[in-house]
Amino acid sequence: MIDLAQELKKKPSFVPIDPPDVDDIQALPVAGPGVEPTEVVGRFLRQITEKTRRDATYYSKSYRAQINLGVALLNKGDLSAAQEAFELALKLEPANQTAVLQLGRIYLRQGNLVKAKDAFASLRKVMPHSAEPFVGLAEVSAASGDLEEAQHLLQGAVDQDGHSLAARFQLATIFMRMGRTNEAVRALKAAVRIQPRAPFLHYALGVSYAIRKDPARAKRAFEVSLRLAPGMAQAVKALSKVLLEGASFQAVRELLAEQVAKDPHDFELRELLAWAYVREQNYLAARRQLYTALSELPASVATINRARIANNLGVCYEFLKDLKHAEHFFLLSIDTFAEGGPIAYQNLERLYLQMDKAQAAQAIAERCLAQYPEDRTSVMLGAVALGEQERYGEAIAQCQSFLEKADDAQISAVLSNLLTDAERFDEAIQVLRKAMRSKPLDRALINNLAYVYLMSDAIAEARDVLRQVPENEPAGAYLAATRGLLRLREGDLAGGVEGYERSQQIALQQGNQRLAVRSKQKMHLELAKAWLLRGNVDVALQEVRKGLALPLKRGAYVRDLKRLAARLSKS
Amino acid sequence: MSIDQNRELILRMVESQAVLDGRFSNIRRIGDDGGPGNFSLMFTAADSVTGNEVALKVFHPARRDDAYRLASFRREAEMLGEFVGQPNVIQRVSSLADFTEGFDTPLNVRYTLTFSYFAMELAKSDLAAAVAFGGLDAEAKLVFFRDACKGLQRLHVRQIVHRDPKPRNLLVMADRQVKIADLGTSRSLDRDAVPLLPDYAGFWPGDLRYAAPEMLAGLFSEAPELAIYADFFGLGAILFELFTGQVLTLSVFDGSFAMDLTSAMAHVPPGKRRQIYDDFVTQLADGHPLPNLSATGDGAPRCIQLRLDGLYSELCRLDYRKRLRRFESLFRQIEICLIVLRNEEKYLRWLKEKRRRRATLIGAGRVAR
Repeated sequence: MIDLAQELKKKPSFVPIDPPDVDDIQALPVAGPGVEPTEVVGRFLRQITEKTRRDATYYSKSYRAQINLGVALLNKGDLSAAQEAFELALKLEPANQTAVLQLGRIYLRQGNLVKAKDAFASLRKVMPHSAEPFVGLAEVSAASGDLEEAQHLLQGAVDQDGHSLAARFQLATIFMRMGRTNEAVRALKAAVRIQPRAPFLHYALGVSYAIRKDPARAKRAFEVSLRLAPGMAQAVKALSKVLLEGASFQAVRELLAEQVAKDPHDFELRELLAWAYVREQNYLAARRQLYTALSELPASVATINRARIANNLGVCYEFLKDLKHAEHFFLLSIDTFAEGGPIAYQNLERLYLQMDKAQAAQAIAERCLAQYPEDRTSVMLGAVALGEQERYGEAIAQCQSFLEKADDAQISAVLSNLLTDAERFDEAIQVLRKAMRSKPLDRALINNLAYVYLMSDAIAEARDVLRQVPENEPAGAYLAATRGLLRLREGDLAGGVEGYERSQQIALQQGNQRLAVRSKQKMHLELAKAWLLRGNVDVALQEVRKGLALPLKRGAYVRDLKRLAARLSKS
Repeated sequence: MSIDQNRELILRMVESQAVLDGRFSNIRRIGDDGGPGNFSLMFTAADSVTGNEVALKVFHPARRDDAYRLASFRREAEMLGEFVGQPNVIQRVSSLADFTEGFDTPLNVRYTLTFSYFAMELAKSDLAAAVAFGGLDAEAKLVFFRDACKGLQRLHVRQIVHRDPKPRNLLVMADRQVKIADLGTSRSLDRDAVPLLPDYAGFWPGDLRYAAPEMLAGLFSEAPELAIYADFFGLGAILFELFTGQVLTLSVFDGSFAMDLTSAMAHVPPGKRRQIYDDFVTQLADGHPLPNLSATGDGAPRCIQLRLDGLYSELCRLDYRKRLRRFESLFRQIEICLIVLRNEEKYLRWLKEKRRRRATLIGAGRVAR
């Protein structure tokens, strides 16, 4: 019988940082500020703006001075003041192209698509041979979700001015958003021919290769962007992600260690470094990086990032067998950002099940299901937690309610498990047969069906079901145990013990000690039943005692062992 | 209200002087508030010695606490003395002098203010005004620019770097000659010369909008000679602004540029600044391409567009080691542009013919192959 309680308790999950994506290259770096200014940079931009403002005040009737002020304010990130300056410039010089263009861009950034469209459309009339109005109109179309129209306009812009970097770059991003990565790569290559030494173009090319699942070319493109701009943090991160996927952990560590030394407050760099350590199973070093990242995280960072780091830190602690701290950080992750995804909930549910805190696991599963009602893992873990409390009715109802909405082999397996534990074998068989209609070769379902048949003494049916799995196929711990049970039921005690011992061996090889103990407990239970059938009460009682002496004190096997012990004592 | 805010009061105090230095009378402010400067106030006055109208440059008395600015003002008067009789550099008419003036506050407390001043020849306007309001044709712009270059060349010949060339510091005289002015931030590169600012302390001399990246990176104290390169950058920025109406650095020195520069130069120990900058500047230049002159603002006539684009790009290269810094080459380029501009039709005919011949040659080559 597949015991999904064990299966689900196995590994905590990391929440990885997103892989390189088109969202990473939305803004053309030459086109705008897009940076969070430090104090020095803020002072620098302020001084420039002040000087330009003084000029604009002195030459208050000059549209050029107003345009310069508008650009300075845009650099400073003051959109509304920049808008005022450009509008004043337009009053002084109606139809000034620069002012209209900049106003169009401001409206676009403010989300005022109607005004932005008007501005770019009017510009197209006076600048019919320039790519700029087309690019602006395309950005408006893209912002309103009409990617086809954006692509059409950008093709027009490229036809108008083949040397327009902005047109080719925007065209590439549109292609990427449309999932047409080959065309995006072509557009970016054309842009690179216009400006071969622009690091952001090579970076964007790398991102498009990464999306196209071409890690070798992505790596090369990111490396070029880093040769041109060695301090480009975005490229370092993207290259690290590609290297991580290629399992080049040492290269990632070397790359990131240098970058982390340069910018110790970049939490994403530390997260990636931690990820490399985790892949090398160096959880201690990973924990150190994540702990530093979390403790130095500025308040301005989005809570989703804080929640992700907390979860990953919890995973490290769990791997390091420090379950108390793991619990603390999983809880922190959930409390920081409850909508951050179901993974932290699932990790905590697994952890609680591992700590034999079924009630706590169930409570977390309920919290998770309140946020994510469709999360099948939490449905399973919640049902398992209820099952561990022997609340089979509720657990079964939970699984059934999920299965009413959609067929799911794993939930069916868990449901059959619960029904078997509740000794409702016929229902378990029905559930499994129904599930096998859509997945006839699913090993978990086959194993569970055979197990239920065996538990309901239908040995021939169980044998038939198990024949579907070839003998030479490497068996898992569960299948080995079920085969052992079949041998026991067939009267071959030595063969049965051999099957169970094989199951324990496989479980130990997989590092799942708890499963090995569980398998052993089941073996003693079934041996006790077999000896009892043969009328040897003493040996049966010995087997019951051996089963109860094992460190697992809860669950259906313990319940059955206790029942048997009571029966044997009476007899 | 503090004294500092009483600009109007101070302007009136100067205007109330009947005669200064025994020769300057009828003192009147320039514009409504004595010019745009924060530290100096500008006036016109009648000079009884020459009979001409002159400009009086008066240091703002409420700013005398700023020792660097006051020293810069004094040094300007002194340096201008070295260029008497030389064209394209503003001419000093009288050397530095002081006068004092007292006034009573509403609480009957008497203040005495010291005014330092010197006289210069009076300009008609400046290039900043010409840029702001347009109206100059391409030839006039080039001639003005050539004058500005000549003025700067005169400074460089004497081992003086200006460190703040910008349209406002280029004055247009009545005879339409452009002269370089405001030597307040200039510096002598003589070994014996003592710098006013001994070390970099987050303070950039001159106007940030026209400063070269190496100046912004604080190399001026560690390697003063780099200011020569920076002056050429300023000239390029002026050329760009003359033809586009837009301040070049506003398109280049945005937030990401400042972020790149400051993060690369943060925590650099003294003496290592230039080495670190040299390692980083190629990357800075690659990451921040210069805008195309022809694609920005008013642009230039088509016949000289490419040449001007090339010239300004050479002057404004962010990597100072690759920047044009020879006046001979600069003047040659300007002259070529002027010749092309004055003979536009002929030039376009010649260009067309040249292209036709080239196409014929290529065609013949193809056939031969």
